[in-house]
Amino acid sequence: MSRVPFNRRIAELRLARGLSLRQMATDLEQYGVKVSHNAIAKWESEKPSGSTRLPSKEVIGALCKLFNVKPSFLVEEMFAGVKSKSGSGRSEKMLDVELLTDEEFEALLKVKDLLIKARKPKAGEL
Amino acid sequence: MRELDDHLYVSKEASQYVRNTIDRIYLEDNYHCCTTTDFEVWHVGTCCPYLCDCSQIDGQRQKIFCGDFWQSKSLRALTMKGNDFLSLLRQDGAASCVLELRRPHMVWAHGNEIYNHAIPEQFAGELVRAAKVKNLYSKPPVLGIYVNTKISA
Repeated sequence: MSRVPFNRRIAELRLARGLSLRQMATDLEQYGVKVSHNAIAKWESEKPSGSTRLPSKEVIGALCKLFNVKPSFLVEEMFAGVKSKSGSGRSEKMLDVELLTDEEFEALLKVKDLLIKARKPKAGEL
Repeated sequence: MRELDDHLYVSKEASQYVRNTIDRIYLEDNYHCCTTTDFEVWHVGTCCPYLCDCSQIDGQRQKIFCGDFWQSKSLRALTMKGNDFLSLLRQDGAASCVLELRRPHMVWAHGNEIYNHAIPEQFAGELVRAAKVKNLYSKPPVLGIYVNTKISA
């Protein structure tokens, strides 16, 4: 699984919260940064080269507070393209759970428990 | 260590170390080292202070300080030959690389701010290899880079 670029990550987080560009700009003001809805649209748009230019460190901090995510979750694209060796990349995929609401996360945990309970041991497993 | 789909895989623990370091940077767990014409240089957490004793270094030759390194365009250019870090920083506004000072350091930059952290020994090998594959590794042609007057990196 490839790393999610900043522009896509921001768009996903915004849409998951059901925020318009203008609402997001207003919400960010509560965290001490003033950005226009046009600026957010620019972050979300991808350059022809496929890269994204990150906003300032202060804005990254405000975005983390607004979406309740860690900075590394937002800027992971910049990690030199190095991916974690985690089998099928499961831990990377699970990062997206941070997009879920508490209720959705609880529901996901219940499904996980059901799957584990229903699981039959494979040959060689205890 | 294997390369798949143009990506070098590193251990989950090393990847987590990188993430944690970046989180610490943005959560302001840094101390200011020096100011140069182009950059503000910071170190993450307790990186470097008092870990090395300058007096134990072989003589004083090639001794430079963090500020000297990031101030010197020629030394930077020489060191960063084959390292895409500075061009990625210009292009994307943020970038990371591994700089082998006396010990390998993870370097993260955002805008004109440069953050350094000495990579723990257990992750150094794989992160250096990964950075080399991605053209994001450099070893300055100096004996050591020193922080302030007492501390060396």
